Amino acid sequence: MNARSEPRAASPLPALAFALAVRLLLTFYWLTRFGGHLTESDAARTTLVIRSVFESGQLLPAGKPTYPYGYLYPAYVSALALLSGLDVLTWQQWLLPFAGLILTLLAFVLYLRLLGSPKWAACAVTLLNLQGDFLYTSQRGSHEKLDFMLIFLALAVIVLAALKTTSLRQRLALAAVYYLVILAENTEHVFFATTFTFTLLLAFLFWLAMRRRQQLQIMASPWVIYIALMSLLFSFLVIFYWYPPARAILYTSRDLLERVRLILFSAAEPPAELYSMVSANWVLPGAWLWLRVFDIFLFTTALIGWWRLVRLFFRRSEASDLSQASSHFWLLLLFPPFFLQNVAVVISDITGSVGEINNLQIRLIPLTAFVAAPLSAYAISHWAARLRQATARFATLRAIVVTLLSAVVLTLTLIKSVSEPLLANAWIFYTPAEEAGLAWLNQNIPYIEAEIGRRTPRVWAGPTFRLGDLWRQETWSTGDHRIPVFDRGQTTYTYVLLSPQVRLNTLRYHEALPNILNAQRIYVNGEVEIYYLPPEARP
Amino acid sequence: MALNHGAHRLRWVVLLSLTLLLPHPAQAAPARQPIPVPEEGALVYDENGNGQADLFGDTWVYDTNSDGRAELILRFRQEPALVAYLYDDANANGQVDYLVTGAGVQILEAYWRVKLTAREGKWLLPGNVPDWNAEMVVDGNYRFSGTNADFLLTGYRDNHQDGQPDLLLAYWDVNHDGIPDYERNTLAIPPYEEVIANRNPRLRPHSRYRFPWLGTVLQPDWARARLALVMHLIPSHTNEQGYYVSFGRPLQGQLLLPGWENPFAFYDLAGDADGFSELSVRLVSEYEVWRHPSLTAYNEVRYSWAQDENHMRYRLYLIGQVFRNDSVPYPSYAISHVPYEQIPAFVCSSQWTGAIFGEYEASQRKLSFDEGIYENLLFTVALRGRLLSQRAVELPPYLPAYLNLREEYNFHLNRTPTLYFSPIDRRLHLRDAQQGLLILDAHLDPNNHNGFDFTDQELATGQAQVLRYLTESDSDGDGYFDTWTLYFYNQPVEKLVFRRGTVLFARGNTVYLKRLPADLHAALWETSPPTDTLSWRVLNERLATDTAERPPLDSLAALFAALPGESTALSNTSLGAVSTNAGELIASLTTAGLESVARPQAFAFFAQNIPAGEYLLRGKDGAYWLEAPAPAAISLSPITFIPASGSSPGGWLLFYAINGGAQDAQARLQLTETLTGGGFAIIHEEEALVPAYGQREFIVPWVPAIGGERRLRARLTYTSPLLSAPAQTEAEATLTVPAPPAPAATLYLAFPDLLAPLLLATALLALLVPGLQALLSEEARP
Repeated sequence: MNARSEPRAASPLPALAFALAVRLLLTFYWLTRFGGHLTESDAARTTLVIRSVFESGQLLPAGKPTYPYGYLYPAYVSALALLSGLDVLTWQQWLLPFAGLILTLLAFVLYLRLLGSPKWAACAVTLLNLQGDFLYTSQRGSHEKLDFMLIFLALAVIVLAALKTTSLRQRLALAAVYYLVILAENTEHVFFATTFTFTLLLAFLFWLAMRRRQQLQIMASPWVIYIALMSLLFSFLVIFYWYPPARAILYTSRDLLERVRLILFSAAEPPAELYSMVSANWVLPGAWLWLRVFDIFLFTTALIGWWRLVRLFFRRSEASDLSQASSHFWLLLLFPPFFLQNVAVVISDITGSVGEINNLQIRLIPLTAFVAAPLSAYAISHWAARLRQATARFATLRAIVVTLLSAVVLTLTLIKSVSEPLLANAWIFYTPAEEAGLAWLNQNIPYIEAEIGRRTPRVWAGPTFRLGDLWRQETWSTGDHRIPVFDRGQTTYTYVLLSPQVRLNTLRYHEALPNILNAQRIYVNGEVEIYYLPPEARP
Repeated sequence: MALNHGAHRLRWVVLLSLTLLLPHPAQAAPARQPIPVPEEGALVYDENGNGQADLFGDTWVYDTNSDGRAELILRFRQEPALVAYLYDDANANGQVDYLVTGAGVQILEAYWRVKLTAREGKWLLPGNVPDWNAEMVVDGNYRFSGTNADFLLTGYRDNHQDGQPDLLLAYWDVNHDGIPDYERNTLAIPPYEEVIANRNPRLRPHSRYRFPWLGTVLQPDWARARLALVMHLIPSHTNEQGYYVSFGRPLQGQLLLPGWENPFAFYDLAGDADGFSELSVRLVSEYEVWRHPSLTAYNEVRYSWAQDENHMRYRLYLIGQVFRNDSVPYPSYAISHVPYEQIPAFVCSSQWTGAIFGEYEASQRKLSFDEGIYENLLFTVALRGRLLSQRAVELPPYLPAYLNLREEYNFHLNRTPTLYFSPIDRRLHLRDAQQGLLILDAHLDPNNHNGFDFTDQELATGQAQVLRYLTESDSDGDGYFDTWTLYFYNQPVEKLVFRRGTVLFARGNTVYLKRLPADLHAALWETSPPTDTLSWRVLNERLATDTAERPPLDSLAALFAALPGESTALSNTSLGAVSTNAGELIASLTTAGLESVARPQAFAFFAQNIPAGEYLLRGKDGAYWLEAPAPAAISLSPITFIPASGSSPGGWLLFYAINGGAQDAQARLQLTETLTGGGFAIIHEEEALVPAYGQREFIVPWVPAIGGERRLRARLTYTSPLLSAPAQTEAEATLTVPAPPAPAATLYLAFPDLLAPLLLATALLALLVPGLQALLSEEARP
């Protein structure tokens, strides 16, 4: 049943409530799993940048950290902090994860327009919310959640413009909204914006190909070119006039290939720590692949759904149903560019062809899932009744299987979204005891002020940068950034911070702890011990 | 004569007329008659009208050569604090300009030079003892002068008198005994502050003037009518007992802080009150400790002392990071430094990362070491970078700053500084020194004026044109020097090697052997540097006894000859490598053939004809013989684990490399842990020398993340003479180490409130299942 076959009185509110409830519970799980004690490299860095903006009142505070790809998210959170009176960290850790509800709402609106059915729209939104990368990136304290909102808005406006607009006034209004959204996205992350533009251009090419193949009398599509060009103009302005750090990123790219990659795949940033060493970061070998089972299901069903739409499109009798005025037409159109981008980077990952800038799935999989989720829902909707009929005699068994499948999907999602430490080695949590130890360290360790450049005490605090992120997130401020915490990449350090979690993490990475036999224990809080290494005991 | 007489009268008339009619700036209209103070060359204008020449309301005009021109004016006032203003010739016309009016003396110089304020309202204590409690402000250019870095004011074209103070000085005599206790100097340019403390009960500055500051602290240049020098009331360096703390910056109102030279202290270690400090200790706190003003990190020490004469002979330079928590009160603030009385003991009882011990060996050329015997200040820049800043600094070769300064160093000392007396060369040495160096002769740059024998470039790079030098080394690693080598134009010309019961000396193509008394050890006695009068005297007596008639170090033959025991000479024989084995003498010899000659009993082996060839000389327990050389052959002992005591985690891995061969081996150890999931983790890597017929102990600290059964493997790869290719040996062990707290549980113990996430996961499932069921109940789509 699609929107046209449903009774007109059917309200979308119950379906929306379902989708929001799922997302709300997922958000609560994220917050409660570690009691809010979350830290992660991108979020820590973003918090640092927001603090700089907040404390200086400038988008580019001199001598302080900035985010080189855009300023909108730091400016936005700074404004929230200023208006609310709550500190930046509270917003980042406790309030902004709920922005996922807004994302859910926007996705529901778009999917409702694309699928025509509130129930299947809710299904699509839920599939999207259960996608681990999407959930993780939209919960953590980084800028992606704002990117996602803006891209959903942009897509919604494009679809609305094609489906609904008849009057010039409406078209102008939608155009104004679209350009504002794209401008915002350019200021938020200019290379995300260029990647999105590239995606739209690919969609346009696909559109042209289909039109030539079928010789359909569908409406001309030059306006897609216009909006893409306008978006590129915005990107040009941001990079070369408005935001010098973005220009620096472009200029400091090593070669033309890297610049192209940067613009097409927004691949300038190193990968997120969580996925940087795929194999080493999970306890069980190949666990990362098992955790991709849901993604494989999502993309496979989306492909099947897309293929069904292609077949429909090529049946001339049904082609009119897939004109650009049709909602499904946009599913057909948008999936290939997103999917192809993803395929390209997965191949890149597998072959290592882009050197250090691998693991782009975290950046691109959520974007592909935007379109894959409704396509998957579309495919499922066509199987549902058949499945029901085929399993009519085994209703109980079917219920059990459905429950088990739901449990498996949910478990995989929860494991991946919080990087469940039972299975994962790259952790995003810290304990209160570790926080207390680090705070003590920051406050009390003798600091050699006169020698800031060359004699900064360093702290070994585990095989990853987990507590370094915590230090950066919590103790850094203009006058208090004293004790850098380093991980195994550092060979010299003066202090060693040990906790049960640090020990376990070290074991998980098959490493030995630093030699503390000749060190002096200077702090104990029950769980956390801090050792001072006299010069003769240092590595 | 008459003409002369008339001219003489005329001159008087003219002079009188000029005196009476012209407005002489100095004495236009004297209101009162000044009170002459002839013993000081001063005229005192009794401006407070009490009929006396006093130091609280009058103006003293000094005209010491009675030429009618003032060379200095002191004006005393009660404002209400008792102050004294010193005026000198600010406008450089050769006199201090003033005018005597009915109201008193009008001084025509623009600014006073010095303003002195008596903190307690008097200049003199009962009994005419000076009251040294005062504040002084000086206006003018200055530079440091002399050993004590006094403030020299003259010699500037621009004397910088602008009414703004340039020097702020303060003095205290806390117990009012006429002996100053503290002096504080604050400089505007360069920003600098120091506190000088006196511990010398004989320091009683005396002035020939009634105003006690004149002639003591304030030193006029009478001929130029200028204040020449502001001397320290308490000499910073030449006071026999005392110290100073310098900060290198103004204190800016801080109440408690550590200094930089923190402090530089001087002691009458001999207790002879002869005016010479036998010990000077320079403590440097280069790095401030953040947020802990009472905590001081001591980074460098120069500990110089004299023994038998009033001349610095020994010095220990120490480097490291030793923390102290002190607060020494001073008038108006406190300084975080080790109290004066505790400094020598603190230095000698603390563990330091590195040390350079020096003895100035020159007997003729005496240098003045007012700040102690300098270490190589250019080298220590790099050393600080490496040891204190943990930077990957490449250290140049160490070069002593002076000829005939024998220096011995260890930059991985990590212990308290200990000295020992070697019976071989009859000298004090640094225990555990890595290397010793004495430069006997070198081409010196005659244009070098940095105060050292070598130029800054030479000191920084360690490269100099050295003609003759001696090295000392500890080849067997027992902490005592056993090998002395004399070089001439960088070629070894003499070598002396000590092993228990034996000393070997090689020069040219002759090798000499001497059998020493079995109880002659590498160290006759050990000691700490002297820290008080008693230990200084004990050391003095020991040195006087044991260093009597010690041979100079420019000839190792003299050292060899001075040692007791019977000896023999192996002619036509040259010395090769000497093994690092401490238990016996193992040396490679190449001989052109030894003829049968009568030799002492211990050397009977050499009484026979020995054909030409390469041999291994062995000497043990008083017997000596030759062997055919054989290569190193190393095996590894089983690896054992020694758990750390108490609750400390981890422990030590102990094993030995045993060399059954006759050559030392240069070995590389790699200790790895075989991981359960495959692969291995490197625990330790080390380069080591395994002595011939000996063993090398390896003690490797190991802190595994968790306990349980662990598989370890040690692999030793070594090279040695006579081995055509590197050889390898391995040892494996499976060890059980105690387990720290069970880690798996820690993930949840850290977050005991698991109920909420579990409930949420259940709620999610409860929401999803009916949702999915409902979707499955949908009809098929077209």
